[in-house]
Amino acid sequence: MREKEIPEFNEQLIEAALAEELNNIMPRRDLWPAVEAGIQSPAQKSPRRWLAPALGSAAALGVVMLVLAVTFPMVTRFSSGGDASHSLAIMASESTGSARAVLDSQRTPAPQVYSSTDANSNSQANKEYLAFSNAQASAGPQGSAGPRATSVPQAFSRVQALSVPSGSDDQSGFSTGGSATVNDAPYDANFFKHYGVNPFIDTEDDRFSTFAMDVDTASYTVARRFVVDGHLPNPDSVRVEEFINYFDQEYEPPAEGTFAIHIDGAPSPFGGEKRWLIRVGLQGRVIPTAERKDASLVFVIDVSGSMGREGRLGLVKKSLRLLVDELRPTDDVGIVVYGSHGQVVLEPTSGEDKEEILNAIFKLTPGGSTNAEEGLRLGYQMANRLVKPGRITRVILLSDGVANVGRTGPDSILREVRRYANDEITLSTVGFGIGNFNDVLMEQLANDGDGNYAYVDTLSQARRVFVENLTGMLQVIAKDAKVQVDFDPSVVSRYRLLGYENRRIADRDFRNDTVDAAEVGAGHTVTALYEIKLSDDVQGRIATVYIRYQDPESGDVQEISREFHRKELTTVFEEASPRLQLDAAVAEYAEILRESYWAQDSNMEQVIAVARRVNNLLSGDQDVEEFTGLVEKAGRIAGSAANETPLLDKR
Amino acid sequence: MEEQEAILQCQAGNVVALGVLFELHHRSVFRTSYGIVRRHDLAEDVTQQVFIELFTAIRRYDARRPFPPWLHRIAVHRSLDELRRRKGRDVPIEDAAELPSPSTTPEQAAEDSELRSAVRNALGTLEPKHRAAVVLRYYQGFSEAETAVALGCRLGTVKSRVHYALRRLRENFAALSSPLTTEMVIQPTSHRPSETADRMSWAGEPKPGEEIL
Repeated sequence: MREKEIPEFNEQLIEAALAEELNNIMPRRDLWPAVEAGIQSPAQKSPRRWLAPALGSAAALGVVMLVLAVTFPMVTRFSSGGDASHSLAIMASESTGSARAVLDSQRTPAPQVYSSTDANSNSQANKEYLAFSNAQASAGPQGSAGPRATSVPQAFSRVQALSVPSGSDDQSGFSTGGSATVNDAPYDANFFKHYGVNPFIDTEDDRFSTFAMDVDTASYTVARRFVVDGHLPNPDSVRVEEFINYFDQEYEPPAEGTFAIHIDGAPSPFGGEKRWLIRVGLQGRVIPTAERKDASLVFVIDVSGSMGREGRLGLVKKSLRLLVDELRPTDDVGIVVYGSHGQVVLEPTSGEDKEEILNAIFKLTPGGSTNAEEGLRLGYQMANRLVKPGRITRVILLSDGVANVGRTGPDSILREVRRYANDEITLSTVGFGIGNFNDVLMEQLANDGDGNYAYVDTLSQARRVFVENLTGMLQVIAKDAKVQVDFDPSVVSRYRLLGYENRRIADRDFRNDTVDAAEVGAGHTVTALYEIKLSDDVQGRIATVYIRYQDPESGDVQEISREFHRKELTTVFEEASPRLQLDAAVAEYAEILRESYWAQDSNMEQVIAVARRVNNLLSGDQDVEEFTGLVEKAGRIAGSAANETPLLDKR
Repeated sequence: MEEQEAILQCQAGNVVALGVLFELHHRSVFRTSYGIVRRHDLAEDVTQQVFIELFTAIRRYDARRPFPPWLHRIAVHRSLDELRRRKGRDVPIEDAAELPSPSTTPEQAAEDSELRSAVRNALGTLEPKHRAAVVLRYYQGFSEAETAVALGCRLGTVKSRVHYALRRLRENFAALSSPLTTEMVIQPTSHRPSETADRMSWAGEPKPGEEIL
């Protein structure tokens, strides 16, 4: 009887229960090989074999071309340098692999959220913040693809409960389900992790702020890719420090020694209440290209099927050509690829034989599942033979980060990466592609491998990474570099570090030299922004900045410091260094994108206003110009999204 | 390659095109068959069989009709075959509610409402062909007509199966869910619709900011 009164109810509940149960499951093994083997047909050819000769001959003609060419709208839209055409067979034969990677990476631990002891705060704002961040954290262990889905009926609607077609922008998806990805996510499963947002800390509770330097910029380029594609980035993909570090800071390089410390500050244009912005900048010693050490590089290239999507492998090839052009005859290059298995495709070859290296690169064709473990292991074995004193030995992983490692999880890879890093074989990771992109793993690999992590979305970004910053990427000037800022509680009442959430180091470990921190390359800059609140009318020292690092040559640990006083503050934001003003806009942009509690009173309009003004001050800097355009676009996207879901308005 | 083109090429015997279709649809097929057989390994086997069979069967496919219902028809049939073959022979069917899928984190499991797990348990008690109807209708989002294609039966049969399944689900669900849960779920007549909506959101709606994977 009673059921009749709520006939709608049960249907929705069934939908929700089914979605909950079925959306999360995937095949655990690669089903395709058995299908391929099981086919009884006259045209019984393996797709990979069927495709290989065609691709081979195309490559011989110097054209990277495909038999079944497709144009993905996504590629043509933003990747000016990318291959607009690519083979489909690739996707065809592969990517069940990615399913396992999905499972693996979804097992990563729950996000870390600062406990009240971390927050160390009795203030109401921090309490609200904690409730806020816990609510965010309970949203899921890490981000799924794209903007958060907030509306339930939509999320559970039948159409969207359909599984995700591969190549999310591929309009050829389901005829009944449209081309929608799950919950309208812009791309299918990407993996990002929410590391929490630093709270305000009372200097009475904890006057020290300690973190490892981070010179990566990948997060900014990942977000750029989202915005250019017309989506707001996944909030979990936003690491504020990587946004700031993307931009030139115009710090003077050190006259002598490894680092110069720059500090300046001004009132913050954001945040409503009286907040000040302090910029702590560290500029690493610049090493001219000619003085870079010789390098033995082993490229470990992911040629699994997923790399066939969106012309990822095409962009890898073009990027590597840029890098190879930069090599010297005294450098060595070896190449390992992995699909279903690892394979050496180029034994170590002198940088003099560019032809040979480029030939090996251009012959690569995608296909197979994703045995990153085997590829990395082969790469390390090759690198191990190349280690010589006075040379840089670096493994460079180029991948979309999908590590379908089969029998072992990422942990075993990471262990090995750390072991080799101790033997001076370092690892850099370069991410390509979005949609099934594993940001978490790529960043972690580079962290543990004592290298760096970059994300390449366009050829010009590749030029930045492989040409302009090559020396910085290869030659390390400081190891285990840490920063500690000591705030004077009599002058500063509270402070908040913007970003570096996954780089935190316990205050007591600052002088513990066994704690792994970060490697900094030649010419790299590291910028940390703090929001602080000052005590009324107390003059004097605001903070002392300490940096501690190991010299890679001598192995000596060094520590330098610099004080910053209240009288050094600029009292009007608009009169501060244009670069500081830019950083303020960039940081707030990142904070809004990651839906930070502390930015909930800000909006893109305010950021746009600052960005436009700074763009005038710094005219000629294309990065700034591009940034301004991105903020404007993000504002438009947010504006149109706000009509449907309250994305930026949390309350 | 458009799906349409992949289908045409597949009909002409192109394995690469089968690969494209596999890539586009295998997860969805896997989920349908998992929904019916409720065992991971069996669902994987079924999915493989489906695509092997598809390669020859696709010649009979009429390209003017929607493809997914037609494809899922193979999945439904193979899943039901699989259950028939195993009936009374081996291991009991995996209880999905007790064995969270590998990607379920403790947090999710904790948030997994009793309600929904009760529904899932109730689903497990349905006859396979009724469960198939429910999965196609309420998970795959097929219309009644599409479900009829996928089940290989007439429209009227779909209606009666779904109706019957819903009734069984209600009964089983009421029996399986705790008295408290039942109390909170089933609304007295006097409640206004808005209140019903509130209660519903208690049951199924995520908290603000929660992501639905």
